[in-house]
Amino acid sequence: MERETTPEIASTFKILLVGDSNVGKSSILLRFTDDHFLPPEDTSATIGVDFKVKLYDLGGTRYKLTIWDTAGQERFRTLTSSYYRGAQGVILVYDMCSRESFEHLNNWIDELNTYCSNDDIIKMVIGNKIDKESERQVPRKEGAEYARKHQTLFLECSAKTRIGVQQAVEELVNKIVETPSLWRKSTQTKGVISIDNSVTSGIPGGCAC
Amino acid sequence: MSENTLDNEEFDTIVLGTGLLESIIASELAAADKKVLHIDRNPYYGGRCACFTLSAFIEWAIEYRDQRQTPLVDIFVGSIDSDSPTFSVRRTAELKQAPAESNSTKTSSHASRLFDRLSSYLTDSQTLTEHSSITERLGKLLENDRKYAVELAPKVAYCRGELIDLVINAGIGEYIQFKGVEHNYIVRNDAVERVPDSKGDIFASDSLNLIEKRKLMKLMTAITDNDEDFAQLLGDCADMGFAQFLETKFKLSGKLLDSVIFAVARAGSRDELGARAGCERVQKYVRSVGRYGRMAYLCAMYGGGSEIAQSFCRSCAVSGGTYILSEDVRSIESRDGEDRGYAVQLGHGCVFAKHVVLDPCYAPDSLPSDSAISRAVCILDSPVFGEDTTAILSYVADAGVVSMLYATQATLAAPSGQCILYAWTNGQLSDTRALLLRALTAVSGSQARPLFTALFEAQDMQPGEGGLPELIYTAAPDSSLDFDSTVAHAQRVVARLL
Repeated sequence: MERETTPEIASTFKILLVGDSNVGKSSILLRFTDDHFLPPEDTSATIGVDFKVKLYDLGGTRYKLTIWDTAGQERFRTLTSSYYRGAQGVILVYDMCSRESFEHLNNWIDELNTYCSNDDIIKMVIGNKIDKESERQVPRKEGAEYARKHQTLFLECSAKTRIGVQQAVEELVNKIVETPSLWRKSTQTKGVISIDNSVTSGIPGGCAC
Repeated sequence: MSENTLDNEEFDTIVLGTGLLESIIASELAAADKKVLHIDRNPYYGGRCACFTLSAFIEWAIEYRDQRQTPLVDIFVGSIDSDSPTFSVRRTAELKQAPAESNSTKTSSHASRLFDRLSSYLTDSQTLTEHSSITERLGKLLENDRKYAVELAPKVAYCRGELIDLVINAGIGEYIQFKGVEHNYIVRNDAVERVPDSKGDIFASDSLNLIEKRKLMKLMTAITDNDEDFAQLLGDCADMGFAQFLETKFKLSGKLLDSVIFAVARAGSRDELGARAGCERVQKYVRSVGRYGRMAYLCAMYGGGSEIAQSFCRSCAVSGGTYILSEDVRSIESRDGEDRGYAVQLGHGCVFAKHVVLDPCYAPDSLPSDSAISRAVCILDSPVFGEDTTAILSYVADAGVVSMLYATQATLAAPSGQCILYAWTNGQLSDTRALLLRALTAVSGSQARPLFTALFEAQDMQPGEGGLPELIYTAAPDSSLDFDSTVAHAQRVVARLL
């Protein structure tokens, strides 16, 4: 079905996942891009998940999403500043069964503000694991309140049951699309050279001139 | 096992320091399924090739620099004409008493806080009345703090060199954005001239006369064709210096000769290179032109070595490597018994490894070696070669040869309307200070005024006598313009460990 009309990719968006270890960042990523959920024994720590690419159509326009996982570098809070470079959207994930992971959102927002090159970056707070309602430690209202205070989008979801995952990413991307200052080709991306490699090259506005 | 402790964990290799060299090693080992723990004692990545915002650079000078390796950082706020810098950040032991009163009305702006920390290092030449103007100028610079990417050891990559090949092989091209280094200049007798990059460029050049063009074309053709005749010629001249080879066999002289020796072959001095080594450098340069456009080098955005190092670190993490920054490395001891190896005492607990690879700065008994590189970084108030371009330069004078890199907003190194000029040369700062300042002045000329300049030296470190024999030491970035010697060193270490 891709063959018939392959719309040109209008822009590439870099979306980051951040948050404490074990809140389900990689699971959200895999659920969204591959509609796949790893059994818990395989997800103890993220190994091998780098970023995933997914094409996304909105209003007849095609966007390429590169969604980046932390590669386990969140464990000792040692994400590289280069991880944050050039991102248009960020998903801050907490586990609604872990108050600690919710309270640590402040640290992640601080780090984001320190490293993010773009002030307009769209943020979304996600409370994951709503399939475990009985173990809930963070009321929905509190999460929503936090998001309002920090002017971010907010959703609860379950990567396990897939509830809310698709919706979360869609909401984020729509918001990015509505904020052209984030992704319109700028002089910064003029003349950027992509180094060929087996993975698709996806630098916004990149060209090999 | 708790999530955030490593106590008693076993690794194949522990790597200390997150400079590019160490990061390539960590990444390659993890890719080969080795269990890697990678540590930096500082809160940032990049080690001795780190890259900072302007305020973070000042904090590096005050707080994070290794005092054995970089005994002092001289900072000029404004003009560099004066013999004496505004601040001279020395060993903590030499610290003068900080001025007791700070009569700023506790505005506590970023600039005044930095000024307060720097004020202990004010040189005597500054009168009290000048203090507020210094704070004001610092404040002006810090308005754009995050638009500066100040590198400790700037380098660029040959388009067709080992670093780019490694980036491709490691599959990390997606992590890094590069731009072309569009211009190559030579500065002789304090005059700046463009160096032609390619045969087309030689033809088009209006600074070369017809005879010079013919000589240069003959050389380029001989070196790129590299046929039997040329091999024969090189063989006959094996003992000859590169300069003599060019003079006698290709009749190059003057500006043309210097351009080939310094701007193309990047020799550190006139007699550094032999004929063969020089020709190999020219060949590498020529082969690099055309791969990604008409330039020979690429420059990473946001600050070269550090950005590339972080990409290798991420690659290592994706393969399962564990990362800790701001980590105290208390001791490294060899472990007798079962399978030997090492016990490393960290703030997070005691960890074990078969091998330890370390930046010599991490060995408490390391000493500065004799070899040092003097470095200058200078922020100018106008982009002397254009706002959207990157350039390399070589400053050639009787007193020595200085490598230079010109960076702008093109690579997000400086805010719009300004530029950063780096200059470095082999030698102790006490011997090279005047040369570096002259090179900066020659290039900035009358068009641009320095806003902020720092001079410092980076000494290479050697492990002390008492060190454990089997530890694998890395080295500081050398004075070469490109990353290939770093890559080669990393690959030697990796080969030893796999």
